[in-house]
Amino acid sequence: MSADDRGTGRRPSRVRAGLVRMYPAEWRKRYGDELLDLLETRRLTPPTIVSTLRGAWDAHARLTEVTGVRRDRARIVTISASTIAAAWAVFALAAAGVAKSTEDTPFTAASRSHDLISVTRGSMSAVFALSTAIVVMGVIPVAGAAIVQFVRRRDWRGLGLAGVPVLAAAAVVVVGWLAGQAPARPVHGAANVIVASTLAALVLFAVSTSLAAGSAALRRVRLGAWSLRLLTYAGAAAAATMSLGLLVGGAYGLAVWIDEPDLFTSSSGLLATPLPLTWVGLLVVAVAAVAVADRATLQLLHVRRRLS
Amino acid sequence: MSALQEMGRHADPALLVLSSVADGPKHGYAMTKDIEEFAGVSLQPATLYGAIGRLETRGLIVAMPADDRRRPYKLTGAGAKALEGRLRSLQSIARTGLKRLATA
Repeated sequence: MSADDRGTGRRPSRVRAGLVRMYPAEWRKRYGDELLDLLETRRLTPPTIVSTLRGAWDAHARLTEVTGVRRDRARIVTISASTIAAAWAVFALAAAGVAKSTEDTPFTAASRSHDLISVTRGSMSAVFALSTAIVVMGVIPVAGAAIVQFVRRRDWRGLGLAGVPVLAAAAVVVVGWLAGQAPARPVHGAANVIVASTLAALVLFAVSTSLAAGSAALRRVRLGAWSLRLLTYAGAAAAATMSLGLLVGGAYGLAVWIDEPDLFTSSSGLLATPLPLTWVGLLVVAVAAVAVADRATLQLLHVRRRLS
Repeated sequence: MSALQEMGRHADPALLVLSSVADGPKHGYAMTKDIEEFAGVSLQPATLYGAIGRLETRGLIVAMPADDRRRPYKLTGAGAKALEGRLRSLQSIARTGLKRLATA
């Protein structure tokens, strides 16, 4: 290989290194340096960024096919459970959107006048509450076990990583509470739209940061068989309640459409959008979250027999 | 189904990689330049390494000791067989298509 073959010798960039870090650790260990070297020889254009992100997704989804490496069962369980937790957070955001867009008087009055709307709305709330309880019951014992291990081993970095989801959740609660204390604004006013968009962006940032930190923390601990079983069953149950919530939410939408079709022509959607557009958007987000959670559940169930 | 056809949408980049290393070992950067020259295709780095990973897993290419951050790859016996089979199949398709075009 001649010196000319060395490419343009661009400076290593954080963006390129960040893109490579999107790949699974097992893949990076084998091909990470080579990919970074090749990325450094060319300009970072949008097609290159998109292609690299697609490659990272592909490597996560088909690690064995692209590297020959088989993940150990504990790693599959923690990755799948973390994926379900992230999907649940996005699903919760969509559920909050549905609750917010149906809190006004016409919807509460429709619930009082029509049994079908009332029953489906009540079921929607009950299923979401059950889903939340399952996620909390799955996360807290495992997080507790991880924290105990970090303290025993004096692994302060691990402890810091485990603290990120707690801090992120606290920040979302505090900011949401502060936003709720602000004086009432017109629903479709610019200020309300900005506050709602900022809150949604904050929640998504908190979810992604928590997922990254939580996954990194879980990689530093050795979870026992009971923790892995708990994550498996809680993850599968959470995904099942999300699927059920989607069905019940769809039934609620249908009930409103059948009994109170005029509500569908109202302009009381979120972020100054008409209601139908808001509901289609929320439906797309919820379906995507459920699809991701169900796929992760299939992986959990695939390794369940090997764990028992 | 051949080892290359099993790769689905990754089969085309894999065929280009196999063709590139058919005349001797090359690392990733040399492969992209070579493929640009003989096929007129600019493979994205991630596409190239997606193909390299799949080919290496199937034993169609093998990595050689790394030179700094660049690791050359060479064709294996199985890789040469798979490449030849695929190229012969493409040759047959091309010959048939051209013959039919000429008589149309």
